[in-house]
Amino acid sequence: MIRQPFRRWRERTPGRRRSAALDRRTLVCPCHDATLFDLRNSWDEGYQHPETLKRATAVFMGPCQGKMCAKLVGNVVAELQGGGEPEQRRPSVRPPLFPVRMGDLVHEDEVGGGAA
Amino acid sequence: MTSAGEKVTFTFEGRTLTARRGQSVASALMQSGTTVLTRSFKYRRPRGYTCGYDVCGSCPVTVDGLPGVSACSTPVQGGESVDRERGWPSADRDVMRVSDLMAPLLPAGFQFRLFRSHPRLAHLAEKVMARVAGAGRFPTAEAAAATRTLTSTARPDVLVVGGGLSGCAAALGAASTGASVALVHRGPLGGRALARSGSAAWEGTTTPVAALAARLADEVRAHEAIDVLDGTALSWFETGVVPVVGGDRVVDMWPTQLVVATGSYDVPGLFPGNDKPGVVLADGVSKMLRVDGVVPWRRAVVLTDCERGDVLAAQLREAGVEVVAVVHQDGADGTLPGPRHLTGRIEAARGLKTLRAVDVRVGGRVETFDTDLLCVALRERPADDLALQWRYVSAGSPTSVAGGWSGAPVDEDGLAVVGSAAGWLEDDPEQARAVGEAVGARAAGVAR
Amino acid sequence: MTLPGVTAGPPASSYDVVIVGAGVQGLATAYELARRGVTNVAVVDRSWPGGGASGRNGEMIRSAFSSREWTQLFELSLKRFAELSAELDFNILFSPSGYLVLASTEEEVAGQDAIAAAQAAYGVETEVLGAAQVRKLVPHLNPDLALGGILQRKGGFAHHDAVVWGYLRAAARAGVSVFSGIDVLGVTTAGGRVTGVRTSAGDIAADVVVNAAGTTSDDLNQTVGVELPLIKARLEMIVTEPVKPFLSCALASPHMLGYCHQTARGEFVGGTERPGADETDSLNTTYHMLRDTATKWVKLFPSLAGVRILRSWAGTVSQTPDFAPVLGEAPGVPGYWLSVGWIYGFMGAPGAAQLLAEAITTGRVPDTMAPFGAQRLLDGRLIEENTLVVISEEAS
Repeated sequence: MIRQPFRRWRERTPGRRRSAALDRRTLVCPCHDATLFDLRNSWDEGYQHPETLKRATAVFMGPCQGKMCAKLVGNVVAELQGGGEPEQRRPSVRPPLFPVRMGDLVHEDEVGGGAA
Repeated sequence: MTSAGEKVTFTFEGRTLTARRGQSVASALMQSGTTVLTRSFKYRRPRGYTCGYDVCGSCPVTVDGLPGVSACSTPVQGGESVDRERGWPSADRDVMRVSDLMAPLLPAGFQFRLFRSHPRLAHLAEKVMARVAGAGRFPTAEAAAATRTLTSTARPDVLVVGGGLSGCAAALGAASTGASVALVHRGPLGGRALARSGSAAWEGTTTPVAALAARLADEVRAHEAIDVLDGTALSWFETGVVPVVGGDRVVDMWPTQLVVATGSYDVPGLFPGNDKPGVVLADGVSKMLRVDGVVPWRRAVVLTDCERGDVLAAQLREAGVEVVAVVHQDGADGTLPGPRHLTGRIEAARGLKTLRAVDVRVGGRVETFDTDLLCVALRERPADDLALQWRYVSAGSPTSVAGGWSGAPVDEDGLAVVGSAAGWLEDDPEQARAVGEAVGARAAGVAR
Repeated sequence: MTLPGVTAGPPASSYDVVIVGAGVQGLATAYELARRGVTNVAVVDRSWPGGGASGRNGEMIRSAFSSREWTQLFELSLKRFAELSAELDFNILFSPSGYLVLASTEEEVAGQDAIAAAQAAYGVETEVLGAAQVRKLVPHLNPDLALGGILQRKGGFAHHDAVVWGYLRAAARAGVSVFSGIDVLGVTTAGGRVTGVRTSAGDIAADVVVNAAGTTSDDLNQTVGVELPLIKARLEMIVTEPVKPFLSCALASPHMLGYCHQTARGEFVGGTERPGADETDSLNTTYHMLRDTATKWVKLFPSLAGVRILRSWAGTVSQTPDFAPVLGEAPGVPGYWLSVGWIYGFMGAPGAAQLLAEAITTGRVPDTMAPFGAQRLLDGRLIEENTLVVISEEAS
């Protein structure tokens, strides 16, 4: 019941501010809470390369390493680029492919030996 | 000793919960009414079950003192102690949720402007932020000690990474040529296909995909020439090694031929509130209903841009969930398949802590649907990470290689990509098997 | 545009100074030149600014070394790091949380007092810690390997990208032009003097050319016949998932050949080295270094065994036989300046840039910079520094 008038009020507020507020609630990278607003804002500031946009917003840098956000970031970059040649490069896929516990990679012989 | 499916108990934040041994921790928690599994990193937004396959990082819990364990992909063993790791006083009620209200002040990069003229304040702020950030605790040395492993080496003719429908078919194809085959897979062999609907052609008959995946998984397990490893491939490294980490061992694989059958990733939707608990990706929904056998939702809205929407709607109805709307994103104006189908876009996913309602813009108006599940069934993206790393190695650098936003099939000598990892739109196990046969023959040619 | 501050459009046909390489060295030098009134400067990079070793290092900062030369150069840098956020109007997240060089053997413990005394003589404050003090400062360390340490309280770490971005923005505001995506093909000379550079975007004239090209600096030297003993080497680091703060200071272990810190985000960032340089310019990380790094850090911090590695990165450097940088005008090529051979380049950039800009603008080589001239390598007069976390070929 409350919803209808509230929504109408929201729609009357100036378009840009409303869209910024909505963009802040639209998560591109759930790992680091990077939002659609963050991507657009950083792009407008000048981070207009996949690798620098990544470093500015921390997309691709959380536990999922881009598995969730790659397609979304690609779409947003394509949209922000406008009609130009679409960006073909994505930030690199670094090893390991999935998070791995450090203990799983210990050379047992070296640690077991205990030599300091 | 208990076997899979038997009733066991485990401790969750001091409470004793009952579950079936082998069901995922997340499904057991959701059965008990726990929908908020963690809090997000920066804004401390509530997060819940999302992808089902340990991809999204939205369900880390601490199990017996070890942080960062994926609740969605970790089976209940019985007797363990499970805690959520973020949020104070609890993940359900987190006072730091207030940071979300300050979001307009905290855009990405805000820290570079903060107190830049006051180094001492800046340093203090940094320390405070580090304490406040949504991160797991540093593990105890005892909990950490459990992770030690033993390393061995293997030199299979063919290494298949991914044991879904295509991976199993490719492994069987390669093994049929007399090649030695190793197959690496995380979780139950058969993979996402075990939870899928639909059918595929195999040996002259059309068979349901889920049943076929289970059958091929059995054949793979029974095959003498196929060594099955439960674990994950770390990467394709410069020297040609693919280390596999799983259980209590690391196996350094030096394959003659590599087959990438890593499948696909679900793609999230882009709309306000898209991270709320209750917004779940399609494969995560299928797995919860069909593998874990838990139905934690009553009503559902399905968002789709392809045929998966119908499939998921059918799965949900079959499980007794009321599908209140199927929203076709960017859909054509033509006839929609059913009365609850509509063309539009998600305006917002709403609900204070978990999903309560979805606003859908249809033409010029907005319709609100009360629901506790928004199933996102968009076209998947090939899981091409391993194939890309193959390219990085041949290029000598990871930064100059094009492709990979949405997947690029790669086929070079020594490498084959099959199934949805290669962008195949349909399940085609016979084609995967044929690729496996060719790769097996190629390996034999190299080895002998 | 690749970053805020990067110039749109092609370079002009001439500048007073052309700097090759928009890493932290090149950008800091450009900024320091502009501070001294030389603003008709172009910085040219083949990729995005900070895309090389400037964004692929351990982020750690100290000035407590064992030799006078290193200590004085890096002391200047450390002072600059503390001022930079305010000066550049950009928070570089410099965290003066302390820099601990860990002693893990009786031999290392025995040598501590002499090193600290030398550091005091060069004007750097350090404290020699006993085992109990080290364990109090870093409680999660393996007690068997925490026998002592030298702590420089003013040391710490900063955000490497932020330092690059801060310098870039400030230099651009002062009038410096920064171009990304342009390959410098060679240095041009006439009558033995520098006249400019040849680039993929055409020739650019300049009386002064600065080589700050990182890994590729030797390739540029070759185009003007400057022969220096530089070898390319790859260094690798790992990053874990964020965990609650457990390590407040930057930590180096000469015994393990490792260095690490925990970022403000909570990620543990650590690297290790192995005997001999990994002579390659590949930026892919390797399996044996991933295992080496994990093994050594778990040995030092047993609890890390339970923390997940999210990713690894590799950076390449161009190193000299004594691991010290080469700063100054190249022998025999007037107008051709070098800031090359860095393995501690992120840490040394603010100080080195200030010295280099002073030398270029005044023609006088500052005392602190003089020992790092190229001639030392040609004459075989190497700088002896004993607290580096590297191991030379001969020592292995």
